[in-house]
Amino acid sequence: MILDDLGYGQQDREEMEVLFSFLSERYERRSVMITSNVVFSQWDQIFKNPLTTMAAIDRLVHHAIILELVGPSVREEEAKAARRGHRDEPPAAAETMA
Amino acid sequence: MKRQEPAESLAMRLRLLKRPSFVAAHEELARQAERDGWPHIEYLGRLVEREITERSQRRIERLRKGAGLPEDKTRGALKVEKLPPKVRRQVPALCEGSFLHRAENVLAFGLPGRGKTHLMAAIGHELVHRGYAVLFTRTGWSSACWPPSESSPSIASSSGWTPTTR
Repeated sequence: MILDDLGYGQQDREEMEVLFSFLSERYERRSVMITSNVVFSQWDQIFKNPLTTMAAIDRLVHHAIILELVGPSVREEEAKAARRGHRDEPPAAAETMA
Repeated sequence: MKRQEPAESLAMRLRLLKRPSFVAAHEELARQAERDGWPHIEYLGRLVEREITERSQRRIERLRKGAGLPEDKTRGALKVEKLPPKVRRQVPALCEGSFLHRAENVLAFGLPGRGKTHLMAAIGHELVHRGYAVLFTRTGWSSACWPPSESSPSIASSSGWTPTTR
């Protein structure tokens, strides 16, 4: 199950409860994949209640692979490249940067 | 006593047994068997092999349709060189799907436009290709679209989680 863009938009209490029970249900039984631009420290915005938030994060990260996608925005770079047109080659330095 | 099967009833019975590749291929393979003098057991073996191969293809196709993955966000279209090296190194293992057997979660964080969705969708496509059931769902949800009604029965039932009927 892939939940894309968790924390985007406001969820009401009932939706939050469905999400929480869903995550509890899957815990240690089936994998969940999540993308989010909300860092854990702000997850109480999603779950409203600090205890629920803590319980949810606890279960999610107990057995988890965390991928941090740092770096420049790929989307923005592509938009810039598109504006530049095809005549310009991307700068070589961008490839070697870590 | 020789028993002659009317061809139509054989096809019908194979259909009843849910062997669509048997239905489609048994006559053609039988002609080939006669021509090339295959022993009976080889004819049956080839027929079974075809059923198995096509069954797995049908399953993957069904999973692909049910997964709801964004079609353009494949692994091939993923710009791995743009991913942080630490993430990039994990991609091959994630695509193998061993984390699913350990019921591990995969959490991708980052600011908008860093390729989180593409990365997860690409892994999703690879998992479907390996026969795993995947369901991709956007969570900018409202209660009208959650729980997702398109969810494949295998996901819903195996998690003990029943989608509400609408």
